[in-house]
Amino acid sequence: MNEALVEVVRALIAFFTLLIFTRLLGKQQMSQLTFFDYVLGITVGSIAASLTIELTYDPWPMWLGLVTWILAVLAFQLITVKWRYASKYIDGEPTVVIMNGMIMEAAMKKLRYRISDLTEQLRDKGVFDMSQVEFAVLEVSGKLSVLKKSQHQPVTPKDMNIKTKYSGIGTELIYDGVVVENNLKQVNRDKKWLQKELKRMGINDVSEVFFATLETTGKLYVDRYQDHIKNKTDISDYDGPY
Amino acid sequence: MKKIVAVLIPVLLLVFFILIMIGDPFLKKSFSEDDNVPAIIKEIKADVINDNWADAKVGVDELEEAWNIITSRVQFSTDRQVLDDGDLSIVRMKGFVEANDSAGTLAELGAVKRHWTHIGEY
Repeated sequence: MNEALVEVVRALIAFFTLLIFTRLLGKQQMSQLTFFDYVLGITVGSIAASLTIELTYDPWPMWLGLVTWILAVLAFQLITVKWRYASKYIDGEPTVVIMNGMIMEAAMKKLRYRISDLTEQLRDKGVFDMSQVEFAVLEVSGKLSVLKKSQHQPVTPKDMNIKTKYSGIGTELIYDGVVVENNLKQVNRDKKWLQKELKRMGINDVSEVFFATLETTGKLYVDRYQDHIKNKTDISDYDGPY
Repeated sequence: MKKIVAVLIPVLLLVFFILIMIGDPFLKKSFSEDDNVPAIIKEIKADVINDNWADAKVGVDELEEAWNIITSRVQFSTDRQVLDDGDLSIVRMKGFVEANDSAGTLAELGAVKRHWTHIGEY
């Protein structure tokens, strides 16, 4: 028995199984994970690690255990998406902890959420003065959403009646020195146009460009491999070796 | 077409993994004369009962070789303990055969048979 080879094969099985199934689970962001999701992640990772290194166990039952956990997560995801009541029951609900500037002590007690937790999360949101807060909601993920009183909210162009241009998502035209032709077509431009624009910026070839996007304003953002920065800002105070 | 390929790759990969993991009941079976563990065990048992220790000694060597062949085939799907235990039983059996000890040899033969049965049992 070649232990190293068996571990490599088991590791590859665990790795690709996790990759395939986590892809299936979707795009839930780490920041949106509830505590239960977090524990699930640890458990699934732990089973995958055991599958790799616990050679004194058959891999099949372990793999089945791993897949069962992942499928249970998937089933709960589907249930909570389809059934709002189940979603509230399983994931819980956001809780208002500050209402009209007043702290909701009873709600906080129910959540075992301390005043120090509240002030910490408010500071994290840039709020150092409690009197500025109109509403604060503790989300299911444990994050705090804060609505400041209207007099403490930043002024927007709309408040000042200033007209603004539309600003959307830029389209990647060059990625790592290669033109993304699909995107170029999508924005109704061609290579000729791109080369002309690059030449105008003093760039002779696409391969000199690391990244380029076309902004919705029509402006082309280009970053070259050679940045030609004379006075580099060095924030490090560590000499090395690495 | 692209979508079919995108779905097919993970599905085929998972099927391949499953086959690796549940392949041991098939892979432990004999594909030639050299890897037929139950048949060799039967032969050794007959030799021991008939006090034919010279043939029993040859049989144990054959059993060791057959066990190694099976081990290399099922190593990805079977737990290491079962394979190691089978290996140890054969080593002990060698000593019992050397000492012409029928009780010890028969006991270890039974153990190897049980270990072989455990392969592919989940």
